Amino acid sequence: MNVENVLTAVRVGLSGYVFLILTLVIFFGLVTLFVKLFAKGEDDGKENNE
Amino acid sequence: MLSLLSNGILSVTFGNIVMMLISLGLIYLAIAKKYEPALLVPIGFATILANIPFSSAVDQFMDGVLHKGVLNVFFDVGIVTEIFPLLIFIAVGAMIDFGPLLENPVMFLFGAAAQFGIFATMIVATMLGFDIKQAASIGIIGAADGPTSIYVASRFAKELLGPISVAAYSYMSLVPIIQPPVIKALTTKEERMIKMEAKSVKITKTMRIVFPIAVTIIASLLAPASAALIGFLMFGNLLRECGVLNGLAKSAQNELANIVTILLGLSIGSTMTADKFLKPQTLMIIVLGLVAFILDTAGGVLFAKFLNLFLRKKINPMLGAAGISAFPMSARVIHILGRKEDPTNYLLMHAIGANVAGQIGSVLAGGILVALVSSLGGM
Repeated sequence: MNVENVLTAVRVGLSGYVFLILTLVIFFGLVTLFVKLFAKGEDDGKENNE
Repeated sequence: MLSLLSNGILSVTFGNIVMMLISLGLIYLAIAKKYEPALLVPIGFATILANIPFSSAVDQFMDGVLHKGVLNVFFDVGIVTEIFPLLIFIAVGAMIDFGPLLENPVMFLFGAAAQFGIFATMIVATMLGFDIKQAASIGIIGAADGPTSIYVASRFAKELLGPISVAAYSYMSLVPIIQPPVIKALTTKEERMIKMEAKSVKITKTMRIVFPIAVTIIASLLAPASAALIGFLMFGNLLRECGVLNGLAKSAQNELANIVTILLGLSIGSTMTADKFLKPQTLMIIVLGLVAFILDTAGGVLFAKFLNLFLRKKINPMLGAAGISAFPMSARVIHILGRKEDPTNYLLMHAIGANVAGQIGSVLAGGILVALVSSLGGM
């Protein structure tokens, strides 16, 4: 077992996983906001039409 | 003259015979058990062609001159250049409906959490003696997404492409067998019976069109190495959702997917020669692939349980397991498990949301691995 290789893998694995989670947390936040804004806009539009 | 004709038969090695048996096994599993037949039949058949001595289907040196075999040409054109997996992503994007994810964006988190197996397996692989590039290629089997596995393996470990592809596609078929015991081991019956409310959010056409464009821009800015992967996936989805390219979307879903799948399978099969495949490494890769799927499932379920510590409305933790890609197999498995515990529980749309989030998560994970290994690995 090459210890240096394993340590590199640990570094890549940890940073990769954390980065992935943060990226998808950003997506979660943006999509949530996006859906709320668009849904509200549509309802408003309907109300205005009515 | 007769010796020239019998040259092929007399040159058959024990390795050739074993590889032909393996290829017959793959074809049997594909046809009789329906394990990813679209890919395993071409792989199995190309493996037969590649293991026939002096086969004109693969590269041969005759009198010191290289005669290119058509299977190797496919490999050079489609795999070395990464074109085939990327074209498959257009097809996959055209097949995916991201609506359930947009209705329930919290599922994005499971799409990330359930990629745990990729990174953990990569670490385990280095402990078993694989170098960092090979380990990353093995870990990505946990993406539960064939094209991503092929994309990363073709970048870092072409010599392992055969076993990695076979493991990735075989385990995707075996999701209904792999996931349930892991989920049951990590959850209580009460947790598995948690009901999820149906979402009543109306997803507009504009949202469906903006989504693939926005994801491409944001993901590519955050992880430029994933731009090609995520971009082609989302381009396919834009074809589907834009509403003015139905012909192209259908072509991507059918003709493009079918043609590229045939070429992809034949190309991979060309790498499965006895000298490359019959090694202890292959067995280790098959085992590590299974480990990756198990750890992915565990990562998703445990993350859902962790979220439940802070939520008033609990999430059914089985949905975390649908965050592995394996679309739509994993979502179906979770739905069926939920119905077994409580026949009135309907988890399918939530599970599909997590499942398509897993598709995005696995592609991003592939891009992130490519970027990190290329830099940290000293490439």
